[in-house]
Amino acid sequence: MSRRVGVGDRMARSTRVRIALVMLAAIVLPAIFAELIAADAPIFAAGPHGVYVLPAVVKPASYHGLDRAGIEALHDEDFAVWPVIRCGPSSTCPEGAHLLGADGRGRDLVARVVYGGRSAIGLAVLALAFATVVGVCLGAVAGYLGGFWDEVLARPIEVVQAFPAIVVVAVVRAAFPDQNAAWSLVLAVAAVRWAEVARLVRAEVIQATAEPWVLAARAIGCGHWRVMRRHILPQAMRPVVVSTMFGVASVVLLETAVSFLGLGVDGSWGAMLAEGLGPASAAATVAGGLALGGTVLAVYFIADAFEEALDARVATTSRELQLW
Amino acid sequence: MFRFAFRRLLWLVPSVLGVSLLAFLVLSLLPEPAAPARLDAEQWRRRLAASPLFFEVSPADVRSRVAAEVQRIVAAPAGSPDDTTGQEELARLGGAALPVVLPELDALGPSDRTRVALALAPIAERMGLPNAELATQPQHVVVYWNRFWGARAVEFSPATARSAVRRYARYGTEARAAQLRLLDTFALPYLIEALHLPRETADLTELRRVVGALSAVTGRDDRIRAHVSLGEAGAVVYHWQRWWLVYQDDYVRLTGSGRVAAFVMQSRYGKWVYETVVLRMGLDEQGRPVLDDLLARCRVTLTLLALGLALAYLVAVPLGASAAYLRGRVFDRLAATAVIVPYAASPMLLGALVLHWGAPIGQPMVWAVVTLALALAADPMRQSRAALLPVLTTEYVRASRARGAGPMHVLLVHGLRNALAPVATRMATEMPVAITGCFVLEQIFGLRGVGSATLDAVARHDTRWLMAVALGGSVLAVVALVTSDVAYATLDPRLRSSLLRSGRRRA
Repeated sequence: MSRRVGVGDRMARSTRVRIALVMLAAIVLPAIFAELIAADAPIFAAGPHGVYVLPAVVKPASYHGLDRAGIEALHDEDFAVWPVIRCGPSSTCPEGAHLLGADGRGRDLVARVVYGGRSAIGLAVLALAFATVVGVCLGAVAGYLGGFWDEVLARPIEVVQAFPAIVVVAVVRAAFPDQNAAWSLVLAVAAVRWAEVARLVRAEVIQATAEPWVLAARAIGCGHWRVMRRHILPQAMRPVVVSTMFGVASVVLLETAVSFLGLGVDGSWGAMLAEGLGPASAAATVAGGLALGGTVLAVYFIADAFEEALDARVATTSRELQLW
Repeated sequence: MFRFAFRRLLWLVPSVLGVSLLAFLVLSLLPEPAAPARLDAEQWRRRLAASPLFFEVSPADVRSRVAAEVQRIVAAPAGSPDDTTGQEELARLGGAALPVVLPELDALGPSDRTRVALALAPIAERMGLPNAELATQPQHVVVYWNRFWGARAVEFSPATARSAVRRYARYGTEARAAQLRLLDTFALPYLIEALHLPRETADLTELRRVVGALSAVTGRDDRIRAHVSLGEAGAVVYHWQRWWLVYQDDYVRLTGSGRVAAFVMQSRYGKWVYETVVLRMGLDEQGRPVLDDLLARCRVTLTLLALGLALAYLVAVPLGASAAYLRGRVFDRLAATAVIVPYAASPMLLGALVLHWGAPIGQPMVWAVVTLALALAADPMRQSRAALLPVLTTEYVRASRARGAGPMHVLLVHGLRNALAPVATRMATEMPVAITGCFVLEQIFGLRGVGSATLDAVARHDTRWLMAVALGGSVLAVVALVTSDVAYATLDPRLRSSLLRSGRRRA
């Protein structure tokens, strides 16, 4: 327990981590509660037709195909609390409704950034969760069992790690053209990402298996499962956590690139970036680029600080060794 | 070292195989794979969908097909749709069916015998046999075919067929043509054997004869017209080879090793492997081999990739080294900012900005390389800085400094070699990121590389191109791994012995 507190303390001491945390919160929180910030429908409506909380989530079908006047007519007699931006990410809104301006087709920029953040962060978290589970299992098997299993798993891990992720995404998106784009992207990213985790876990497990405490644990009669869970994995998870934190940045970049190329999901930042290539408007590109850059920077700083903080020796002896 | 590199390169085989199996499995989920150029799309799909994915439990050949058709004719009442289909199919199987069906004719009942023999009439006509009208008369037909087989059975042997094809191709006289016509579809395997890509215009005469004979036998009109270029003639040859890949089990009799190979070769995967290895990865919709297109486009993408990576490392490693030396100073922070900002901006935004301000001047390729290098520099810079830091705080570096060595001496002699080894290993894992960057920048700067073609292929469900790219990706991955391993071992001699032994570690 004490170590974890120490890591948190050491991280919180640095100003840039605090700034990065604020930046990340400014992107993640709106992404989670996007409907409270920007939506066509009210947050809360109570009137003769009944009481609705977040009708945009509960019954999106009743708003389908309605323009602004239609939606207002729907809630004419209600007591309604509207979101800050009364405009969804894909609907065209009148001039006055925008907080920070609109793109070429009159869609609100803030709304698009907020919903794009949902797809980017959501995809990264899901894909990394899948990849971590698979990678930890396979890496632990390869490292702990050794011999045949190691031979069978180690080379594929290397090859998958060096295999171009964009090709995997292209193949998967071609094979599932009509299905939900987000899920096929999650699978495609997880399919390449697990190898990195497996490589780290395998190396750590091989190292830990030879440690005296593991031998001692075996000697007093602990089963393989218990040894793995209590004595080896906690040690092996540290580089995995660091790599996963950096992984958020790289997966967000990958997702944006994929959407930029037109293989991804519609509301993504990548789609916004791609709009600036045409003659239409640079506003969407700038907004999407700032959101993407902010996320990547924030994640990178936090991961970097975490990695340093884990290494107690560097953090305490020479502050000058820190990059930032 | 060479032995080690070679042994690692052998890993190409299983990884390419594994990647192709996986990609094939995923792509087989596609609702409708595109038909190859100039084949009937409907029929192609029916035949393809009928064959299993990886393994054909009971491979078909001309014997099983003829038996099935004869059974169909016998079982169906005369004049029913099944009867008609059976007759048409038997006529299509043609001369290759005769060695199977004629000796068995006597085993059938009298009326069945006549009906089956009558179904062979179109073949007699196609062969240009004398008295072919007898084959359409119920009272003569069985005797007619029995006589035919008694006289001509000798000619239906591989050696005769092969020499007939060779002679016709060489001389092209009417007598040779008649001899070949007599064999009908029995000569198909040997006609396909005689196909080869034309190298000069003189080859075209022979080729034109072979292709003409193929068209006459199969009724599929795809000939080499007069005054065509070598490329167009080559495309026709590809079409026929491709056609043969789909239809060969109708005309070939499987024996021994051929039957064993057919377990795999008659599956969809087996056909794809054959197409990839023998037919240059198959044809795209314009009728060109996919491999040629892939190689041409690879030149653009690989140039961008190699130059971008090289530039990134050339800039980032010295920058990281200087930053490590001047750690904690302003330069350190400036350098870190200078690489992290382009990394966060991503190739998309960088490319868009460069396109906005810079691209009208000069080559798009140059801009793409610079942009890619900028976006990739963060990781090597961080790695080389992190690798150098512990070295610079060692006792021997302090001692060296104390004796009066300058900073350059310390960095170059003590530092860089130690620092480069871990950086080199990152090269292989940087590759996927760099390739994503390549695809994006190709799109932005309008370069005709692998990226744009792959995006097209995804939109058009072009399985062949996607498979080709997946194979290329696995080759690239293995080559990158081997390169980084060799670089690692070269930079750090302590590792050499362990690397060389690693293959036999657990033996």
